[in-house]
Amino acid sequence: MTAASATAMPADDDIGEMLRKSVQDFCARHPGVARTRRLRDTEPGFDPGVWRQMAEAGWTGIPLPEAVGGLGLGLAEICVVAEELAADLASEPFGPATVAALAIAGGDNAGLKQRLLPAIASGELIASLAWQESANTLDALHPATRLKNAGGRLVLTGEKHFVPGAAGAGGFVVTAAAADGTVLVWVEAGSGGLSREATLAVDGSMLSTLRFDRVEVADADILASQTATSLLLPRLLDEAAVIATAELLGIIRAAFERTREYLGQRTQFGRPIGSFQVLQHRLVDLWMQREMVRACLEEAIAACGQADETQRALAASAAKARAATAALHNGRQSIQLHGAIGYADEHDIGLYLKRAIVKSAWMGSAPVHRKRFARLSGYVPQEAGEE
Amino acid sequence: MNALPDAEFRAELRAFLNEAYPDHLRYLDRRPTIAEIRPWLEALAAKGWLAPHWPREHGGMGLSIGKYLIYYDELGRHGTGRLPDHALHLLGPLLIRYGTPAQKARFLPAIVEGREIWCQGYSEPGAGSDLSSLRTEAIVDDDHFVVNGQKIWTSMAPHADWIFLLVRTNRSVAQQAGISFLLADMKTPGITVRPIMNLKGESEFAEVFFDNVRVPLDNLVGEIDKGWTMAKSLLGDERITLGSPRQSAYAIERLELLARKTGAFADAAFVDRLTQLRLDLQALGASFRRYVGMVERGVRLGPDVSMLKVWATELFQRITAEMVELGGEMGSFRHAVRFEDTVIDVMNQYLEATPPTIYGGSNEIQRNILAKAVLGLPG
Repeated sequence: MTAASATAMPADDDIGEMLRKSVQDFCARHPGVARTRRLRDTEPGFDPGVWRQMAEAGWTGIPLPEAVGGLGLGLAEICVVAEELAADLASEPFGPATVAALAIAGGDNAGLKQRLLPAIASGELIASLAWQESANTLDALHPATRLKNAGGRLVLTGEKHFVPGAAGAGGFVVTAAAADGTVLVWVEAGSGGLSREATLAVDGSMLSTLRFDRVEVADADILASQTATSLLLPRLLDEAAVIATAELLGIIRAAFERTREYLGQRTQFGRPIGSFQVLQHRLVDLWMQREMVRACLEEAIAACGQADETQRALAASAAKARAATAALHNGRQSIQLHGAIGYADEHDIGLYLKRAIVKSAWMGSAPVHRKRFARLSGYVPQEAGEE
Repeated sequence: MNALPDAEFRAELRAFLNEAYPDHLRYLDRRPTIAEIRPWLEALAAKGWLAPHWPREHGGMGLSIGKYLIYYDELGRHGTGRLPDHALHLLGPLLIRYGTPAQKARFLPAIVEGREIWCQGYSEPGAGSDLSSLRTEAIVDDDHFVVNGQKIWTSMAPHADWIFLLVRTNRSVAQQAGISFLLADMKTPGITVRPIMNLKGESEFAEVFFDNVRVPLDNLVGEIDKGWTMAKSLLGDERITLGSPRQSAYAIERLELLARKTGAFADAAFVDRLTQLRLDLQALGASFRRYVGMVERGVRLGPDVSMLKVWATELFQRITAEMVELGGEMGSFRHAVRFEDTVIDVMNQYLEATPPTIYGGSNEIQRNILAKAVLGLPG
């Protein structure tokens, strides 16, 4: 195995490898780094034309049933595409949109699914999950956002933070406390009473705060009942953490490979700097972390396919915690090993660190997942409100 | 035996361990002496279970890699002491591949029957990580080699019947080229053994001196001057066991026990560090299982597998360092720390974790190899 060829092994090797190859070919034709540079600090922050082509390739509907235009595949295949697109630094919101698609597909509202899923698979509709009300949490089941019955009509009131890809989203999957417990609600972008405020993230993407001020919700827009939501959300957050891990692995791989090449080319003191032992050992340590991210990702994908919820949660948190820490470390070291040019905006290596910072935080930072792992290991007592 | 379901295979191993392994030698905080371990060695040999990875035609169990790992996992779980295993892991496979029919007939049965104990003579005072600079010399004199020189860090040398060693047979070629592989009877006149005490206070390894030692030409394995390549080629799938998470898994359980006894779970900073160690163990386990899966699918392992050895041995050290620090004054005890109902072998674990980053190719050498062979960095 060489550094360049090693890739995560999906559940079905053949389908996964075909998919991987087709994403790589696509990225060679549409280099993501160029789009990230061109579209950073703007909204929606990605190229809708490229998204349409991704939809034509089927990537917007990987886990969706074939009946709605999806591919009927699983988390392993999602992770292959997420990893490769992230390695290319593509700016399209593949990860967040796929998480939202999983949420919709996992709900118990057949009519709404029939309305939304074909549009998601075809690329016409991008959804985003709006669940977070504070930083550094993995608790989605106890929102302060309320769905209340006001004179026979349901109205949604509350605030969600850090929603990725919101400017390009046609609608949001929103967690809300209803009379009988937490439910998922579908809210279209542009609904009356919905306002949005964007904050620029370091990689040039936007994280939005959504304010719901008595937004009217039809019964038909309850995406998942209380029963369905309580089953769906914990699994969804674990799967989302695993998808984030795959994205981080892609970022690590790409930054690592560029750094490895640089060490072979850059000459100082009459020798390629990659011949210096101290730099060799440092690169080996980065490589070992990368390989462990890969191994943890594979185990987490497998654990998501098993019935044991604790094992699934442990594996997902172990994977995301390691990937987040490794990606930040790998990103910083990539710049260090490039020297001064690494700190220059004109060089691409800094783009990987910035994307790594954003993706390390998405779906739970390393400290958040370490704490959860500690609780699940029985090292500290469960906190109220935790699964 | 490869056809047995894993659970049945485990059950069979456990039954045998319960029956044949001496209870008082379980989880010993030192390497058992030859006299202590011999009944176990003989019981394994009598059952034909001493060489799990050797082919059946040579008296081995012929286990698949999956079953082989289960075998060592169960022995570890039972807390068995280390056997004199250099011939089982290194010499046997080498003789099977390169030995003459006469050498195989003479030496292999005595190894699998546990009748002869071997030690390994590779390192020298001036040849550690740079093994190819070895100077112990063998000169042909009629039908014998005459060996002069010195080996060091030779485990089990005081108790070994035979030694397999690398010697220089040609000084006029490149360093690696002039090395040969010999087998010598430890009773041969001119061989002297001086035990060396290690940090645990055990004389587990030794210096071995060769003073005009006559070794029959028939005891040359493979071609003359080609011993280096041969010895190096022998890094098979078993290398994966150097990266087994078992030692670290055991050590972290001891660390958790010590933490419970000392109330350390109330210390958030400690819990953070413990959690990180657990996560590091989880990643080691995931990586280990990944490589096992590759071997089971028939993938030939490359040099990248040594990441397991590096990570496993360094993690073992970090866990045991945490034990010593957590123990405070008790962490400095030379012998086990005793509580009313529990004994925790803090110092034993700590010292046990010290040499693995040095032997089997130091971790610095492993990183050099990974940098060049896997990452393709310039020399």
